[in-house]
Order: sequence, then structure tokens, then C-alpha cells
Amino acid sequence: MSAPLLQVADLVKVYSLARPGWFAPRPKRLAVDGVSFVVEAGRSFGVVGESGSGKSTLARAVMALERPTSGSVRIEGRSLHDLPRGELRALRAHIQMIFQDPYGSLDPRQRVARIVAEPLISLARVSRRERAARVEAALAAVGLSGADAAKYPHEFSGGQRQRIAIARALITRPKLVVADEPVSALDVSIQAQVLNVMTDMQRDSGVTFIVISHDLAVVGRLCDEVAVMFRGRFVETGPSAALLAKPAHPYTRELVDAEPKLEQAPAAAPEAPPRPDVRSGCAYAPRCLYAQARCLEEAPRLTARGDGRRIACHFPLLG
Amino acid sequence: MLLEVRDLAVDLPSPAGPLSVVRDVSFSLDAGDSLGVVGESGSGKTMTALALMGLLPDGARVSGAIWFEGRDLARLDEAELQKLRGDRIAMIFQEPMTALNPLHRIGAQVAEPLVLHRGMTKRAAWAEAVRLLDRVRLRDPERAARAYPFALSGGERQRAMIAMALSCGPKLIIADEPTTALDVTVQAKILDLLATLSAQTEMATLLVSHDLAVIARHCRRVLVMYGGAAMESGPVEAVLRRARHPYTRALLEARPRPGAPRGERLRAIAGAASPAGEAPRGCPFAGRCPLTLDACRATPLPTLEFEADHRVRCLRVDASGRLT
Repeated sequence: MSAPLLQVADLVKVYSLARPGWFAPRPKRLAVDGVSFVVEAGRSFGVVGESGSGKSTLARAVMALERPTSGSVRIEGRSLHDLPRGELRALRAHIQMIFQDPYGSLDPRQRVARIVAEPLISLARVSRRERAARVEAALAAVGLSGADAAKYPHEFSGGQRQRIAIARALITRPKLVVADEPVSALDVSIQAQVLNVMTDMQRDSGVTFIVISHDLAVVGRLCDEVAVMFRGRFVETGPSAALLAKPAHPYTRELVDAEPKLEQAPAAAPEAPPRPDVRSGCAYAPRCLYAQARCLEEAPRLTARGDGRRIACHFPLLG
Repeated sequence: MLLEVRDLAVDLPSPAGPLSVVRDVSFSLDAGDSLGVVGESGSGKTMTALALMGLLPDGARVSGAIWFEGRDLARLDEAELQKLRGDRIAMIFQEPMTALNPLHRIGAQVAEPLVLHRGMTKRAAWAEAVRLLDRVRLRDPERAARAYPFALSGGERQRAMIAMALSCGPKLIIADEPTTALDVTVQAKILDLLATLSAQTEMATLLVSHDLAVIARHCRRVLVMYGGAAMESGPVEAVLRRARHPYTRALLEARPRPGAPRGERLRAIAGAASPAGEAPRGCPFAGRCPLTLDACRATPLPTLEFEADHRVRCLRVDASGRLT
């Protein structure tokens, strides 16, 4: 059996913070605390969570932009952080990234043709002629014309710029694209254009996305599998449709309920009675509506259930 | 009627001449009622809110009338507006960190309007500030009052901003994207809190947001803006269930619905909004709208009214509310 496209095992990232005093030890912050998951080719994977949950740190580790404190990231069986420089460079052609901000991520002084071709120039050896053909094909795939290649980024709207960023990410025909909040900076009417382009890409080029987002609807639309992250850990993972329709972890439930929806009558968000932060128990327990004594003492482990889900909760919401 | 805005227009100065950023906007708000103003970037929603507060950028020209408690705010001078702001009308902004002074304790900032508008002593105002912080359900209000803004989380800071806004018992609160910078679980709690407080005090709420779902959840009425103009307005229920304007319909269909099948294409709105000042003279949505006629670009927007103050401004909608 061949190795999966992406395999993340026991990933830990600890940041050292500034010393509070001259002789005090540096406090540590566990941004990612022992995360493991597997992504098979063609099965897009979403990570949802709030700010500070560690989802962006995880994305950066998968992109080899960040060296994990411990644990491993394997692309088709090869450990990303142990590869010699040359091989990492070759591998980079197969993993690309789309960032949140379509204004900051495109060099304003370069023409679109050059911006989109950039990964080809630095990562793959292709002729000038093939490069031009690939740029045109990539722009066409995101709904832009060949004439747009001669323009500068400021001549485009936010949605068009994000489509240019997608064309750039896809030009090396990567197997894996990490998209960190790909539409959250865009207006609703523009989001749909970008989401459609990403859906077409999955279908036409078979690219696998890792989508990092706080927006459950966006992740549900693009991803087959989803993981819910809280304080550096996965609290629930599983097939996105089932997980979003019937959350089993109380935190997933809180996220799903808090998401404003047009289709559903509003329900007041209940507030859990305040509890002190816990050291040994479940990190979510202080906010959890269902927490019991055990939750404050013993951290639940992420455990597989029969239906393809993994849940870290002593008292999950479905039997 | 607490607030009545009639034919509001705002022009901003620019090197190329005045830019029309809001035109021909009318709406009203009763005491205790809530109106959500929804629109994308460049729709004029924030400029409309700033016009009500007299906080537009320098050189802005306002025309039309803004009747509030029997006075036209568009005709008041800065000194008179200052007396109203923070007293009868309060405002909450998107990023509380920029609205709060980082060098002053939270308690002192919440107390300030009470000293300024109510002539309270600092000591009495501080005690009242602690009571207000408790009312917005900040944990340990005594500690929160002594804290500096950086020591609080984003959600806590926004609660402190709400406490400050409520301090003088305003009749109208204007909230411009108050929860956009916050996580969704915090957003829901903050907006619920705002609704509870307005219900308790008969305070009217004007909520500005890019998110129709946020407004649907927290407001009774909605005004949909595009390119500086009002497109459709009415009770939330009517506008969502029987959206008549092509823009409102497109906006509703462009949203990814939770539970929709994977891979299903969304109905994207082609193109992008014209920059301010370059919008067609008629309907600003003309050109992007699939139903555009030549007349749409040239004719001033008609206003059609349907049952229960549901208003639509579109040439292509007939008197029965159907698209022609």
C-alpha cells in the first residue's frame, strides 16, 4: 500500500513567550498539542477553530514554514522536516499555499503573468514557451483572460486577486494546497466566485485542499473530512457532512449553534456558569454546558468511534 | 418615531471632485426597535452610520434630513452634536482596541461619559461604571474596572465598550460591525447581550453588518444597501422569505448553505461592485444584475411599497412584486 498524501503524527509546537521578569523562566505556550491525522489524495481536509486554537500554526507546519517542536509531517511517506534542502525544494512544487489576504499576498510591482509563473520559475524547470502556456491555462481555469496577464494586481477586485493567488498556487500542478481562510477577507457576493473556482479545481485537477477556516459552511462545502480544533488539540474529527449536521463534541455543537444562519430560527446562546480554568482536565470544561466532575480532572483522549469519527470527550452528545 | 432619515446623501471630497458615497437613503426607527443595515464593502452602510453621528470625514457634504427626537442632526453644529454623542446616541465600533484608550483603566473610560454628560463626581461615576460592567456580564467587574484594555480579551473589551455606550442610557445605539473581529461563539453572546439590554431599556438599535445572517438573527427590520443606495427594506422575515430585489436574491443565493451537498456550485454574482463615484446614475447594481435594461442605468430608482413597510427599489419589479 502506498503512503498517504499527508500524514501528521503527534505534532507539537511550543512557543516561548517573553520573560515576565529578569530572572523568571520564559513561559511556554502550546500552540499545537499532539495533533495526528491522515489525508488521502483527493480527500480534502478542513480544520476549523477559533482564533488562538492553533489552526494557522498547524497549517504553517504542514507547509514546512514552521519547524515543529516534536512530531512529524510526512508527504507521501517522506518526512518534511528531515529532508535535505534540495529535496525539500523539489517537494515544494507539490505543496502550495493560498493566504487570507489577496491584497498582501501579491507583489504590487509585478505583472500578473510574472506573479502566477513565480512558482514555476523557482521550483520547476520549464521552457519560456511552456511557462506562458501554463500561465494562460491557469488564468483561464480561474475565470480570467489571457489579457489579464499583462496587468498589475491593483487593477483587479479582491475576488479576482484571490483567483490570481489560486492560479499561482495551482500552476505547478501541486498535489496539496493549504488554504488559510481563503475567502474570509472577501464580500459575500465575491466569496461564491472563489469557492466555485476551488470546487472546479478539485474536480478537474484532483488537487487536495487543506482548508483552514473559522467558517463551518466554507469548510463543509470544500472538504470531505473536517477536524475541530480547540486550544491546540483536535476535539472532534470526521466526515464533514455528518459532523456538521450532528456534532458529538459539545464544543463542535457550540460552534454550529453560534454560526448565524438564515434558514433557522434564532436560539439564544446559553452561557455555562463560570468555572476556574483547569490544569489537568479537559481544556473546554470551563465553558462546557455538559461538564461533570471527571472532566475537570482527567483530559479526554481523542478516540475513534465506529462511524469514522474521532472524539475527545468523556460524555459525547450522541450515544 | 425616534429616528427618521430622509433622502440622505453623502459626498466625500476627492482629487477628482466630490464622490457620491451615499445617495437617496431613507429609513426610520421607533424606540426599542432594531434595524440592520447590510451591505458589502463600498455599499455606503458605514458612511450612513457615521452621518447619523456627525462623524463623517473632514470635507464631507451631507444633504437630506436626519430627524432625531424632533431635531435635524444634519443641521446641528459640532458642539450640539457632541452633547448628543455618548449621551442620547451611543456608538460601538468594530475594533474595541482602537476605540478604547490603552493608557486608561477600563473603569475610568466607562465612567467618563457620566462625568462629562451627567456631571457625576469621579467616585460616583466609578461606582456606576462597576455596576455597568456587571450588567454587561463581565466576570469580576471590580477587577475589570481596574484593568487596562490590553489585559482583556477581545470579547471582554467589546463588553466594556457596550458598558461605556450604555452609561448615559442612550435612546439609540449604533453598532458598526461590532462583532466582526470576534469569534462566532463570542459574537453570538455579545449580540444576544445587546438585544437583551435594548429590550430592557427601550433603546433602539441600528446594527451595521456585512453579514445578512447576523442581522436576520438579531434585528427586526433590515435595510439592504448597494453602491451607496437602498435596494430593499422591510421586516427581516418578509425580506428573507419574499426577497424581491434581484440584488437581495443574489445575495441570498451566493451564501454557502450549511448542509448543502459537497461540490454543488454556488450562484456567484458575476463581476464586482463599481468603485464609489463610478456607479451608474440610475441603479448602482445595473450591469452586474442579470436583468439590466438600458433604462436601469439612467432612470432614478423608483420606490415600490408592499405589505407591512416592505420597500423595493427596482425598475424590474412590478406593482405585484414580481420581476418583469
